[in-house]
Amino acid sequence: MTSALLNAQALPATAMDEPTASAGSLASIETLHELFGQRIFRFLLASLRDRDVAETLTQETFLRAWSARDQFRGDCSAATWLTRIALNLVRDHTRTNRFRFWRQVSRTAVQADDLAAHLPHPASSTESSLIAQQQLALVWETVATLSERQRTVFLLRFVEELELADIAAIADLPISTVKTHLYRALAIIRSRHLTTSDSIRKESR
Amino acid sequence: MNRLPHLTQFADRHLSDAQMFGLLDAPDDSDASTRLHLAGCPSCQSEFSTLRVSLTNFRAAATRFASAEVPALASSRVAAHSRLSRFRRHAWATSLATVAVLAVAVPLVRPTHKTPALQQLPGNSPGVTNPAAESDDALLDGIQRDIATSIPPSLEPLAVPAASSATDIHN
Repeated sequence: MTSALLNAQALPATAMDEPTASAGSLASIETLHELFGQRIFRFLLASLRDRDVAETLTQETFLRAWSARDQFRGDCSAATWLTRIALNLVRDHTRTNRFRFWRQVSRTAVQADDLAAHLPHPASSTESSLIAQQQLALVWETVATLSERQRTVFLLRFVEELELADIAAIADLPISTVKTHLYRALAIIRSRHLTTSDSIRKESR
Repeated sequence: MNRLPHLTQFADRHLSDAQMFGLLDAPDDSDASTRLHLAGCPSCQSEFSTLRVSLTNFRAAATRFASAEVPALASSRVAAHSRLSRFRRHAWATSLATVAVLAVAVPLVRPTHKTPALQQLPGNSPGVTNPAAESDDALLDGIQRDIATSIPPSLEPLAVPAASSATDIHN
């Protein structure tokens, strides 16, 4: 492993670098996976919505990173570098295995209900819990309708809480383009919320 | 867009997508006019609150779900894959080295004498008689004898043309 990756001081601090990588802590692929595995898996799961594919590509991400660790120059954080590898795998997967991908989705797809079981504050009232589940399902379904770039940028910003500069580095886009995709994604989500709120309001009358 | 009517100065002008985006993406960086509008507009407050809660819940649920779903043995699997990859690389290197050694060594140990298999081929040993060769010689001798005969027995009547033609005429 390069000294840049081993030296935590060389890595810029980002939201994804919460588990501080100390010198030598990235000396093995197991350590790298322990630090960033869950985040990479989460990003892949939200992007692909398939447990099996997300797990496979998570392993592939770390294997590729480990085999190419000598090429890591330390220009970005290890998390940004890993996420970029993961995003490339997502793009390869959806591009080359599009039809197989969709068949796979039908068997092991992650549905909104799967996420709803993990909503915080489960002890709240039934009504507020139902509203939260509806809103979660709305966001989950709307994100699926976004373009690949809009979805990626949205997930990196609002799930991974990355800085715009890191998102730009991961997606290989200018920051202005990242902002545009993010703005459009939020506008679509806002529109769906308003439409749903209107329909609920009409039903309640 | 159906909004609740209210008697404020913001009744007919709500937050644009860009303003809402600014509030959701970076609330601290939003401009004063946006915050002022939000403070006085219940409709936008409600919408902003709903969107913010939705996005917060989305992140929380995705995080918890991923935490629950991430395979416990994934780390060891990655390590096993890594070891397997190293083993495969070593195996490839070993195979290539073996092939290279054989490519060099085989021409050096090429045999300079006839192999036993070649020695045992029929006809290669002078002291051993070959039954097939004997039958071939006998056949050739028979043919030679037939050629050497002046008139074959089957053509003997043609040797007396006068007698033969006379017989035909009389018949």
